[in-house]
Amino acid sequence: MKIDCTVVEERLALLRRSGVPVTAADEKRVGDSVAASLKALASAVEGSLFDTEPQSFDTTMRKLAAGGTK
Amino acid sequence: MTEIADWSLTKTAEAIAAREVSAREVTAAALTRIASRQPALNAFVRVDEEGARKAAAAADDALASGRKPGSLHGIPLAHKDMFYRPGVPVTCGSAIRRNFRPDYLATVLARLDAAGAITVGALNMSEFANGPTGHNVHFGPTRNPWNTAHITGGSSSGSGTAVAGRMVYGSLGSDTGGSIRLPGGICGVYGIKATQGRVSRYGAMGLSFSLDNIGPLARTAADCARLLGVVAGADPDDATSASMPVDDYEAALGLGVKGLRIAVATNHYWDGMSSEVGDVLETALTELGRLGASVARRTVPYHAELRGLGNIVASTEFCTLHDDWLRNQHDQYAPLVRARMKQGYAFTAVEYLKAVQVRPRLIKAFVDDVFGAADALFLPVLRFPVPAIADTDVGDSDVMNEVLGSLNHCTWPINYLGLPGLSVPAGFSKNGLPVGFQLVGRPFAEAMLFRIAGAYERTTGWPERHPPFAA
Repeated sequence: MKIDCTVVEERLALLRRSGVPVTAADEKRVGDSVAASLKALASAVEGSLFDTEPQSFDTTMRKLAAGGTK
Repeated sequence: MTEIADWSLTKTAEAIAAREVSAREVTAAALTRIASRQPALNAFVRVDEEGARKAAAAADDALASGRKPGSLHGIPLAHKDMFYRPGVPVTCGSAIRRNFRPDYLATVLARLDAAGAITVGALNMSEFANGPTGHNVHFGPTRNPWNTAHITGGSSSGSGTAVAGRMVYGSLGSDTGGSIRLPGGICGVYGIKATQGRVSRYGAMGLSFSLDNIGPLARTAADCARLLGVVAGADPDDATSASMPVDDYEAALGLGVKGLRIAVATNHYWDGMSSEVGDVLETALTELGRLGASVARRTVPYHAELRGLGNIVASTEFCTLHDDWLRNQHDQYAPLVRARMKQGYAFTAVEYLKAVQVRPRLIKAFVDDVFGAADALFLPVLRFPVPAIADTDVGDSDVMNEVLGSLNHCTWPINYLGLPGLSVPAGFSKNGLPVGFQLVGRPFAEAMLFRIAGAYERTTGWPERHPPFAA
């Protein structure tokens, strides 16, 4: 996904619709942060997540464990 | 003679168990120390002197009656004000929860109680554990015992200063992006964020379901290892707690580092490194090499992605927990705290779940890459000397993201990875403030981190240095 000003504006619209008070400074900060975060997400998720296991965090951590000091 | 309050936790526990000193004497020394240093450090939000003295008397009576002491028998502790005990106020560092009294007991407190620890009060913290500096508009900023004009780090700010200031022997904090390791490194003590799930979160205030960790701060590696050993382990009340067996962390302290492989990340974590902090860290690496570890410098993957991914997960979960109050009690939050939370509303459900779903894949790739050829990863805690309170009091100004992001630059990525991270005292910068490093390991390798920290501490002796306070 290309992260451009349209995408950021869409996200700011979500923020405004939340019902939480929002200032211009909030929008500037959120816009900058959201753009950087979505760029990171696009980079991390290469291709499809179709062949991923459901909620596999715990099993992944157990499998990666080396057993303390060994 | 060194005052009792200056002893290490483990030495004090052994002395109590051997009846060389009483829990009453130890607790009285801690309360005296708290009374003398609280005005300067602002570590506590509440001190329970009467309750602590009663508990100490009960601990002495139990020993006198022949009861076998627990590993923390008679040891005064105090914790970040976010752990629940029936009927006892828990503010979470906030105005919103100023009068909250929970009706159930946190698992970590139950485990400390069972080991014989005495709770002497509750510690200051960043509001709702959200903020890496130690500022708090409701309770005032905590102050660093090495120089009270400087920050303690946060969000477990009171934990860092109370332990470093020799007010208590150890403390529990929480870490969602560095909130144990930052005050640990900044105040010159140890702090461990264990593997995600290693320590139960039942009865602890939540900030981010996926990234929150509970863990101890303490003055020596052995003290920290003992506290983690007490609180770690599966908990039927916390479905996210890990079932993996708990290693003997204290036993690992004496194993030495000969033959161990330590990787040093040269990208991201070293970007913009100040020369004086860099010099201290290089000295530490030289020492680890002299002790027999091999030190290899290398780049590590995903540094560009981890902050953003953690940001999506954390901020969305912040909003989930705080949504009602953000709408209806907006003005009760500090401007900085509410400003940091709002970005969670700007992500879609699919984006949040993608960031969650891709997490195991990235962790596996990171661990295979980094820990396939290393036993631990060496990282800074901060890349610059500990800043002043005034210089980091940014509120919700234009520089908020930049200043706060610079502080948790080296700690934040580790929470998304779910890996254990231990902050270790490594010396001092020219302004006399502590410098620390992080040791990061593969999942559930906390014992390996203590093994390295123990060897380093034996040769450097940093915990022997005390903050420049008049007793």
